Amino acid sequence: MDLRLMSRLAVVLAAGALVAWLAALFVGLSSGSPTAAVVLRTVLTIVVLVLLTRIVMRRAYGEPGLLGRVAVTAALAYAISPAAWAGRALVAQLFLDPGIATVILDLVLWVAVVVAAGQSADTRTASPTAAPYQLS
Amino acid sequence: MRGGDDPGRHERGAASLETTGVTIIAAMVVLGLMMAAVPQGKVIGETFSYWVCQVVTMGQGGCTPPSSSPDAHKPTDPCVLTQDGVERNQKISVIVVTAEDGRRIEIQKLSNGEYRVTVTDTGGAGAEVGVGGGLTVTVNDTKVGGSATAQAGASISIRDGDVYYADKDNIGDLMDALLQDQVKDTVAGDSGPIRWLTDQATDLVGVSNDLPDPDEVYAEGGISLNASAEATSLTDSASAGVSESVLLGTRKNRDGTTTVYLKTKVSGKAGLQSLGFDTDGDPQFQGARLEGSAEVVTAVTFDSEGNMVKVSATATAAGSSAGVASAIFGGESDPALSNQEGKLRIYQATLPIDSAADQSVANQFLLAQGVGALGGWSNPALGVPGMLMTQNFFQAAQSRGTVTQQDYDTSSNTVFGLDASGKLGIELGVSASVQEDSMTTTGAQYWDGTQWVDWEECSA
Repeated sequence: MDLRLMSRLAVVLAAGALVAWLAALFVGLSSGSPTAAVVLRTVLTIVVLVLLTRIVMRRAYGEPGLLGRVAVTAALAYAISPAAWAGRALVAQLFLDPGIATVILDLVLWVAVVVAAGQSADTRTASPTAAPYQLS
Repeated sequence: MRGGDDPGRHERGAASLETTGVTIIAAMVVLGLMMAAVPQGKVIGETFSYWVCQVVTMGQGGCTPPSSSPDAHKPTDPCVLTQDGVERNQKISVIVVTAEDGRRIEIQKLSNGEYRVTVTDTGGAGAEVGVGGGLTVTVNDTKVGGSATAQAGASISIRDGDVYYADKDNIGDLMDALLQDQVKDTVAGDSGPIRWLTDQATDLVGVSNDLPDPDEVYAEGGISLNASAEATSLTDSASAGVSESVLLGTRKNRDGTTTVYLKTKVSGKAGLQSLGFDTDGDPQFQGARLEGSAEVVTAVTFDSEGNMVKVSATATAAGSSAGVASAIFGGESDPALSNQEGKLRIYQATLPIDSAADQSVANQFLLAQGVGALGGWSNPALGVPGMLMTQNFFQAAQSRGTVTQQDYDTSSNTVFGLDASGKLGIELGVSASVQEDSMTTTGAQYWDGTQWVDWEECSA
């Protein structure tokens, strides 16, 4: 997984999470329920993270250290998500007042989801070897 | 024969003069009897005495203004018919209690058809429930804690908050805006870049219902809306059974006036006697639970120039506070209030400051509560607060102001389970995410100068 793919994954995840976050907000506004908005936000964001990770990971090669790079990419995506700055990205707000604690808890969940999705994603075979007829 | 020699001629007309004099006297007696018999007679007599006093003292004396006519005692301010409160714990949790972020929305239907919506921060869930939480009541512009089953019968809290007024056609939009604001606060916070992004996005999509500017604003503690809190002077009352006054907060009203709220606790027989109420021999007090205590909320309203325009006192009669509260306000003692959960009576006495005599009574009433100054206002009353000062206020309110008593049925899923939702909740770290309460008026009366009469508009 090269640097370009990592950057692409980070941006896609951050953008997708923002869209999910807004969609949950709009639904929450119409329902008038803060609880529903937070729960829906969490569900939609997780779904988006899983789907986008699996899609982008199809371009990656299954090489050693891939999951570590995926984790770093997930953390980077979290860092550039505006909702994460306020500790209002995922579900931690249901248990604690928004703050540094919810930022950390949401980060842990976010990275775990992305890594799990990356682990189960279909990747290219690792380190394509040159065919005998190919010139090295 | 000259006319002067005729004795009958000298006395001609004398009989008619005597007759006239007797007739006038008789008429005055009859008039006096009639005046004594009709309610207006007292007012007319007091008015006559007042103007005689004014003439004799050339307007410099402390002449007591006449009582108002019975109709004038009927309160003009709208009263609360029903109230529903939904207290949302913004962190939504049913698991962890960590304080703050609470918000309470009270929706009140007023007797004039308006709705008053009060939004206050509750300061979190667990710690407040069971102590100052539970049912609170806003009656005639005075916020009073209900807590019908609490020992004191009244627990008071004023917190920072906003008040909105809406008619029937607009209350739906207002509630939508409040709920949307609540959702936004929860999901995006009340400020910061993510909130800005949220507002922009909702405006762009057109799903946002913007919250209007509040009509009135509450401020907890201090007199931040009026003057410096440092100018406030509250001293410990020396009277037995009467606690020192505590400044609850202020409210900036929509008519430009500012109301300062104070509370005083009156405990049992000693407290009543300290305030000048004779608790011996009065049948009304017999059987009442004078060992209880009642919290009296005093609301002092100033105009935009700092002139005092109105003073009112409010107390909740419920549980063990029923006897004391009824005694203070001269209300009808109802044993049911002491024994039944879910019932309470709100007493309120209001004295508009229309004369120097009214001002003097108000000053002494405040002095009796240990109030030396409120913001920019200094109490000119001197001396040690003594007997009758408080009683004078209630008598003046009965005579020239308004005194009301209003009964409510209340229900709440927290107020009747204080131990369960409060202490136990704190111990377990569990609180309800939504607390609901409601109250509905079942009857109301006002003092017309001579007796309690039904206040039909507020008895619905």
